Amino acid sequence: MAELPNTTMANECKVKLKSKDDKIFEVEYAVAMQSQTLKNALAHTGCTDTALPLHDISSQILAKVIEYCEYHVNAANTISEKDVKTWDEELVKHMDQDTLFRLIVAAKYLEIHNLVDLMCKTIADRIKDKSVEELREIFHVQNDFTPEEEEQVRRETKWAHGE
Amino acid sequence: MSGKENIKPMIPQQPQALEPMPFTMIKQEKNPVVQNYSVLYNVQIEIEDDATHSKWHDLPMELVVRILVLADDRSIIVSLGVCTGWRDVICVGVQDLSLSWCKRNMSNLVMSIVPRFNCLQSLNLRQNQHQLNKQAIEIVAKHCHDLCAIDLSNNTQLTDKSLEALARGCSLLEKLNMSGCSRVSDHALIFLSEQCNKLRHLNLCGCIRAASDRALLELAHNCCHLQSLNLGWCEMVTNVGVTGLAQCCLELRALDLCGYVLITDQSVIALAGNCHDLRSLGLYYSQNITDTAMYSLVNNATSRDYMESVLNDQEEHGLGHLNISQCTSLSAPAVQAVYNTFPALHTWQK
Repeated sequence: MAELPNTTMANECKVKLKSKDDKIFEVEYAVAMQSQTLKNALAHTGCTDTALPLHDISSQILAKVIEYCEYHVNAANTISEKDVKTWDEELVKHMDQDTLFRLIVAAKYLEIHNLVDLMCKTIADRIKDKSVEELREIFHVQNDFTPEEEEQVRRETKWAHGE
Repeated sequence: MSGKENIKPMIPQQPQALEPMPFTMIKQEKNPVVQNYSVLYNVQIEIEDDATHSKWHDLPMELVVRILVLADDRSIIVSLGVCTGWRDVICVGVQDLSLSWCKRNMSNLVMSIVPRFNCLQSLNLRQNQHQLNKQAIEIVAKHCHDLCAIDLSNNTQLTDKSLEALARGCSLLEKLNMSGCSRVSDHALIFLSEQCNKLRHLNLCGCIRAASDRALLELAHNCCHLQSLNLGWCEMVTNVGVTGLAQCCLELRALDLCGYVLITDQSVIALAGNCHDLRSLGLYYSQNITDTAMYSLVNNATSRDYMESVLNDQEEHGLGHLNISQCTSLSAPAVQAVYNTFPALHTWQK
């Protein structure tokens, strides 16, 4: 994978990202490098003035992603792990389900591994002790079992309830 | 109606709605089966106005599994009932399952749920009180042939027959915790060692009937790659068993012999002379251990491990843990000599 020719260029390079709703975001090269996907893309294109289109990410979500990446780039050697963790928790504390899910899909798409981990853990904490119906609602998944299949699964898993 | 109207034909292909991007869309995950499922169930990304719709039902199945595994094991089981996609992916994607939170219905749960999981590698059936019956163990033996690790601790009613069935079905076991399975006899342990010769970690703490010298010799002979062995409170074991173990299991790193009144210096000398990877040794209450045993540890270390620990990483070589509490025959100089020889020993008890 080709790197940018020299570090000066890397330092000066600004990366442009275009959200689904056509908003342009400009970020530092180092911030963009938090995303493996963008890293790979920039290795092909080099530093370019053309905005990279992110068709499936809204500006609201992209702003959050950038906020996360910018904080983590700056925090890298300066802020304690404990404080970074606290910041992460604050970021997600009041996020609604919808935002959480959009953010995890975006983080996955952009391959920002720390953010994916954070999102997985956050969602996991929220779904403990949920019933099947509640899980379906949270994940917006349809019940596609046949009545027989549903009865079978219910029978098999009933011992997990009420423990 | 499944509501998955947007799904294109179930073959992996680049989503066509996007402009070609110069980077890969799908990252290879460790579990290729889960990856295939996530490709199959990942709804094609399409551009549309979604002021009201969220797009996160595009959540790849590998993330669903990851989230569930991070939640808790009860959620994993409950999630089997969400939809067919989830059920199918959980059954191949979840490799480690713990049912130790189940306080009353563990047998029923094992019998109904374990056959669903196709790729279990580790299973925790540790109990708070005896719950697990023969049928449940047989279900595990029948369905979990790839099992590498199982925790059956506190299963005080575990019978020889059940253990033998498990050994037959799960011959790839590397890690077994049978602590507290006091009913099992040495016949069954011998059979286990014959079937499961890949065993590396075995906890037999309190398995009074199982751990005899005879069983230990067979175990040493059949499972010579043993790395850790807990024989705490197995009072029948003598120097014969431990010496045999030392001579065959050269990769032994941890051995717990707590409560062994019958063990003498001979055992420690054999361990010191043969098991050069030993990092942890428990001799609690071995009142027949004398300074001779301590000096054998010192003498066998000096020639090799001490130099390696000084030149390389101190943590990696030589004893890091030694329990000689209640070994009332030891003198201070002998214990000091051991401490001086093994820098990794930070604390020990006299």
